[in-house]
Amino acid sequence: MQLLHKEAFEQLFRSHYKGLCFFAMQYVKNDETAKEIVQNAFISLWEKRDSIDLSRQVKSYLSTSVRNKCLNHLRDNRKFDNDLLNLEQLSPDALYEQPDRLVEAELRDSIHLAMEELPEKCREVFRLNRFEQLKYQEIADRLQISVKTVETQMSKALQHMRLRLKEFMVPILLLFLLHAVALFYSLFSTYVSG
Amino acid sequence: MEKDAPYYVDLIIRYLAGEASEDEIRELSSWIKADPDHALLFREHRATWIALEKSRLDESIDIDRAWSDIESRLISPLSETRRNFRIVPVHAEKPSIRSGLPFLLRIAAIMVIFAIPVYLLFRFVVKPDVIQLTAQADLVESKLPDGSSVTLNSGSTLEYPVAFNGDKRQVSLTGEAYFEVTHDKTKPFIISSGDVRIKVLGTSFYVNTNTSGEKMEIVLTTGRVLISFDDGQTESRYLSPGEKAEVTTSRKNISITVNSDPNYLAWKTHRMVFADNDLGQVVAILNKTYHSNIRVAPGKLAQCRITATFDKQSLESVLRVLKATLDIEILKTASGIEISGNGCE
Repeated sequence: MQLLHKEAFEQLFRSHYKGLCFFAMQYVKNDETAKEIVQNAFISLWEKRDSIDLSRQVKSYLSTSVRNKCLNHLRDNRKFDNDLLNLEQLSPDALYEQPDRLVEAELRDSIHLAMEELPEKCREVFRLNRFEQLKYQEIADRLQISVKTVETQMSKALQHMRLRLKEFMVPILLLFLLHAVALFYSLFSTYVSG
Repeated sequence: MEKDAPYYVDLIIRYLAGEASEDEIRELSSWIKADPDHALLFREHRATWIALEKSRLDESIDIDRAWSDIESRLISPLSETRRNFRIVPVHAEKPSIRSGLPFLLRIAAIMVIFAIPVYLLFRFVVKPDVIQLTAQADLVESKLPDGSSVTLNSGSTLEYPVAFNGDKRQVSLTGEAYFEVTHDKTKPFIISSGDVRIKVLGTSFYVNTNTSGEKMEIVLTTGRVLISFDDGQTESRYLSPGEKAEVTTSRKNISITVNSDPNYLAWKTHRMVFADNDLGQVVAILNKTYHSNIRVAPGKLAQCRITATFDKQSLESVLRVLKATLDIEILKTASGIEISGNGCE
């Protein structure tokens, strides 16, 4: 059985931290929470290092650990809905693998360009929510507008981004279409039998 | 009560942004279940959101910061890093890291780190200020404090300080390495090996301190280097791209020729070009690149000529090509591979 030394642990951390944060983010929808959860998962791993067998898949261990912590967080905060989570198709294996740097860079540039195209107020609302991670109410307070306005602006921004980022999205949508059909079918049969 | 589409789009976005309340989440869930079009709309918005979040997170995470944050939370004290660790390589189910890694040529903020597998093949010894990087069975690619990158061939060691303070960036090499050095006019990058100094002027190049007979080889890919001896007396020589310097330490001699060996980086790139090379030479390069032990039966066979290019192919694949080209037998034994036969006769 091979044990975990600190250097190996550091390598694990450096390889998987980002991917796991992204994974956690899809559940908890908040940067800080996601990072905290992932850090805790790594710390648990470190604390158990004498009993963990590295010939097994440590990656799965970590993603399962993160997922469980996320679900617990959602339950504690009453933001949990089984159907919605299923719909989001979040599987522990859907990790951020060796990213294609070229696509990442293109995507980043497209996003920045698309943001430049937004009308000023819209862009500001979107930026505050997305980059500064402010809640709708906080944005409303800061910009002295109503929460309803914040919502409308967010909607407008996302529609625009959706249009602009379409080329990055095609393969994902096709997959989703298939899932949607499958989901509809399974829901339909549930209604029929239930 | 029928609500119109914009209401639900807003609701979807509230959910994605983490703003939806418990009730709203339930409401969204039933709405989605009611109609596959609703599910599709949800997914489309989600896909956009995910792309945005992924990109944002990518930009915002500083892995070094994150590591130092967590490091301080680990129970083991930092002093653990000051000991000698030896990581034992494990037999991997997956193929070697090398074949998958794309070439790293961005010299900016991107972290260069080893790929995914759990086994590690380097030793990391920390004296108070100096880091020692060693490649054992596999290549090791690492980033230096100034952002430069180095790829060490097996059996090579590089020593460098934790931070490049002072007026120069000095590292010490034993063995073979390929460097990509970031530009910094104010701080020259200097590689020392014994009493030879290689001063780098923003560039990429290869150094081999190992060749038999106390010679050191430096092949320059891009940029410029200045090679000198520590004594301050021996004349220093500049090296230009495409040139190879052979430094004889005992006689304090630097000889510069045009590099005629296209395979000097084969150990790193797994790209080999043979143009009318004899089989003996080909086998020597194969052994170096794949760490194999191939022997050619004595006689005329070793003089048969080969012209071929191999790009990131496995040794098996290369041997198959050789077998198809020459009339040879390839025998795998416990100690290596033996090539025999008529060859080109």
